[in-house]
Formats: sequence, structure tokens, C-alpha cells
Amino acid sequence: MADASGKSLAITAEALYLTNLMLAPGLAFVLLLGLYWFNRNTTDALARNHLSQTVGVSLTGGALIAVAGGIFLYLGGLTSGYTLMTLLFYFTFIHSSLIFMGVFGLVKAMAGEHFVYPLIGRLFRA
Amino acid sequence: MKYSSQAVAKPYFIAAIGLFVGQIVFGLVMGLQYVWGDFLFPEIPFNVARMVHTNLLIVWLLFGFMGAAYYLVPEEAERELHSPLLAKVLFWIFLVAGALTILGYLLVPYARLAELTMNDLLPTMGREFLEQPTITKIGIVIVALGFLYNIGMTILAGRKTVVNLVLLTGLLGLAVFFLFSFYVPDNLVLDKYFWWWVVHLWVEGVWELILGALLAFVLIKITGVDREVIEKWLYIIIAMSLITGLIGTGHHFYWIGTPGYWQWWGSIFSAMEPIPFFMMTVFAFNMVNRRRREHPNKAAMLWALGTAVMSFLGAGVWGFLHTLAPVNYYTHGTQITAAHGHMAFYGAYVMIVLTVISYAMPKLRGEEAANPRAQVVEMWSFWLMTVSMVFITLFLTGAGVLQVWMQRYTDVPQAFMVVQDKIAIFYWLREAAGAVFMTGLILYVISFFVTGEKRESVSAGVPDTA
Repeated sequence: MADASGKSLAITAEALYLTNLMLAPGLAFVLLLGLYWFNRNTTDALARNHLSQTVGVSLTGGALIAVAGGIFLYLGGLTSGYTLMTLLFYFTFIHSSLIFMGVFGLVKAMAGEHFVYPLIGRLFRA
Repeated sequence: MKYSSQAVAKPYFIAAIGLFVGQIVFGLVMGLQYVWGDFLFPEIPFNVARMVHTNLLIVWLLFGFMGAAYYLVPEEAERELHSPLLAKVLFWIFLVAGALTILGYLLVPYARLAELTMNDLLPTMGREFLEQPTITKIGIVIVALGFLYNIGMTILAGRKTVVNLVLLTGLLGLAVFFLFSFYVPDNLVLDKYFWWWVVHLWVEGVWELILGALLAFVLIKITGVDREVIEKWLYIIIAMSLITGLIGTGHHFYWIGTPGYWQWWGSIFSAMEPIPFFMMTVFAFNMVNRRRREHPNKAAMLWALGTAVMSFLGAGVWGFLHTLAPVNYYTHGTQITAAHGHMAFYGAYVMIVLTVISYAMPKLRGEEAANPRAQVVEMWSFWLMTVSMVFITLFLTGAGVLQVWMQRYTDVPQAFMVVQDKIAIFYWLREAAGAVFMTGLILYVISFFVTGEKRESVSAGVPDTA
């Protein structure tokens, strides 16, 4: 069972992960990285779980958006409406999926439970 | 059900589902008319099919809201409905008025309908979504007043809960803002300005209160989580809905001739409009995760969670997609708007009405939940309708992006109909997805007739802590 500070850390990590996606991209991620750095050796398993998951999935999500987006742009070119359409679909799909996964993560953190993000989370087990 | 007067909700739900079927039939007709312009012409021209499609949506959702209120309010107030007879009378008035209006659209040219209904005495016809003859609008006001009196008196005499009061506030707002449909200024800017006071302040204002209250009620019942916890969430959600949604009206004022500051106000506040929907998603999953009972009605829980997810996607994400003024400059009135409209209406309001029906209908039929076979069919219908709506939205978004690219965001804009021809493939795909949606809806109707092991009529073994 996690103690109160561990649960609070887990909730903060998930909240920063979601804030990075929705309200303050970049800034919230820097804060999340800071939170991770200063608490990376915490003994609380719940906090470690949520910190490593959110940081790892944020990095992977960012890479998914940037790299694949770049590939679409490179292959499709800037002069095609289809490029814009594909980019929009891709971004919306990835971004919304990351948000929904974050919602599940936040719900689990609030309940004091561990959470592994689907598909990519297993790479970042604490 | 706990109170016999809750039974008046049943005909409302049945009428809602019947009109929903009609709405989708006309949706399929006009979807085909997009690519086959002469289809059913001159019997059902595109403008008439569109009017019937949108008006049926509004009417059946109102039936759904009223049915939900008649079911919910007595249970929350812990007393019988003030006047079940009034509820039954108003049902028939509303149904007959609605049916006559739709028949009028279909059988008489619109201008002739205006003459027949003496629109010239108080002209209110001819505006998108508010095409109803003035006499129908007066009928709606009478029905709304009677309805509010009925549930208002029930609440006043009984237990006041947050769910009840939020629902009543939302329904009062619905009635009050509808009054602006009678205000038709000669000035076109003012006309559009106040038209949005009905359209926007309904769907992005007071209807969100109704949505929140209905979702909270169903979650209290199926999860067994303490009412106090759910009520706190509800307070925050409706506060955010009103804070963002009211001034968010500004995103409709960008290009209609209003002062330029609306581009700032509209952009900032409507960019925040996804927040209450996001909170609703966290709220719903949080409550289900903390549930203290395993309610036998799995289908209702699926609809409730689906509402939270799809309303965030449709109203939140797809709304944000084109709400900022610099983006909206290119996208307004394109198929991107249609994409947003479809998913938002389905995700937020269609699904919440179906959630309540899914929860309440078995109880109205004397069961705790529908039999497992019926629930399986209902869950199939959930997935068919929801997935096909996602595809309808994606196809319309694809059409909209290309429309913007070829017709708006270019130095050499192509003609409207030339562009329409070029994006026809998306309309065909949308029509196919619409056919799947119809299949899901047929399954939904069938689910009410699937027989199986009957459940207990009272919640034996399912303690009702709410």
C-alpha cells in the first residue's frame, strides 16, 4: 500500500503528463522531468511506477508525433492537401490516445494503484 | 422502479427511439443526395431532408431529456411525480405537434407551410435548426412550461439533491434560451447573434448541465460510489461548463459582423471548452474504478463510459480543432464543422440519452437489468454505432481538410461544386459508415425484444446505497 506522499507524487506525475498534452506542452514536461529527477530514488513503488511510466510515455509519444509527422511531411510534401489531412488524422489519433491513456493513469494514481500504459508502457517498468 | 409515476418516462423513451430511427433514415437519404443529387427529387429535396434530419434530432433528444427527467426526478426527490396525468397529456401534445410539423416539412412546400401556419403574424420561420412553424414553437413553450412545472413541483415538495437541482437548472435554461427563437431582428448581424443564443447556449451551455446530471445519476446507481463524491465532481464540471461555454459563444461571432474582440474572447474561452468534457471522462472512469458494487446492467455502464469518451472526442477534441479564430477563418462552414457536429451530438447527447434508457428501461419493464442476451445485442449496437460514428467523423474531417485546402487556403481557389466533386469519395465512405450506423441502431431496437432469463424486479443482492 502506498503512503500519502507516494500517492500524491503519482497523481502529480499523471497530472503533469496530461498538462503537457493539453495545456502547457513543453513546460509541463520540464516540470515532470524535474519531478522524476528529484524523486527517481524514492522507495515508494507507486510513485516510481507512475513517474517512470509518465516520463517514458511522454518521450515516446513526443517521438511518435515528431518522427512520423516528419516522415509524412517528407513523403507527401507541403503542397498536397492529402499531407495535411494525413498529418491531422495521425496527430489527432496519437494525441487523443495519449490523453485517454493518461486519464486511465490518473484514475489509477488517484486510487493508489499501479498502472502500465498499454503497448508502450511495458518498456518503462520501474 | 421505486415510484409508480416513473412509468410515465416509458412512452417518452419509446417515442425518442422511434424518432431517432427516423432521423437516421433521413440522414442516409441526404448522405446519398450528396453524391447522387437527384435521389428522391423532387419528392424529398436536400434542404427538406436536412431540415427533417436536424429537427428530428432536436425533438427526439428533447423527448429523451424529458423521459429521463420524469424517471430521475421522483427517485431523487423520493416522492411520486407531482402530476403523472400532466406528463401523459404533454407527451401526446408534443408527439402530435412534432409529427405534424415533420409531415408539414415533407408534404407542403416550406413557403406554403409558413402561410398555412400564419407565420406572418409572428415571423420566426426560416432559420437553420429553428425552422419549426411559429405555432409549433409556441407548442414547445407550452410543453416546456408544463414539464418544468411538473418536475419543479416534485422537486420543491421532495428531497433536493445536487443531481435534481443541476438537472432542473439545465432544463430551465433550455426553456429560457429557446425563447430567443421568437426574437428575429431585421438586422442580419443581430439576427445571427441571438440565433446562437438558442443554438450555442443550448448545446455548449445548459445541455451540458443536463448531461452532467444524467451521467451523475446513472453513475451513482451503477457504481454505488458515495453521492457526496459524485456531487463534488458534478459541481466542478458544471462550473467549468458554464465558465467556458457562455463566453465561448464568441467562437460563433467571428465572421458575422460583430466587433473584433470576439475573436479573442471566443478563441480563449472556447479553447477551454474541452476541459469540462475531459473532467467528465476522468470523473466517469474514476467512479467506475472505485465502484462498490457489480451492477448487472453492464450495457448501461458501457454507455456511460462511452458518453464520457465520445463527448470528449467529439465536443472537446473536434471542437478545439477549428475553434481558434485564425484556424476558423479557413474552416468555418466546411465539412470539418459537420464532422464536429456529428460526433459531438452523438457523443454527448445521443449517448447520454441512450445511457439513461439503457439503465431505466429494464426497471420500467420490471427487471433490474435486461437479460444477458439482450445486453449482448445492445453492446453490439453500442460498438457498431460508436465505431461507425468515428468513421463518419473521420471521413467528414478528411473531406473538410481537402475542402479548405482547395477552396480556401490557396491563391487559386476552386469553385465550390468543383471541390465537392473532388471529395465525393469521402461522401461515399461516409454513406457506407452511415449504413453501418443504421445496422447498429436496428440492433439496438431489436435488443428490447430479445428474450432470456428474467431478472428480479427489485435490486436483490444489489444494495442501493444512493
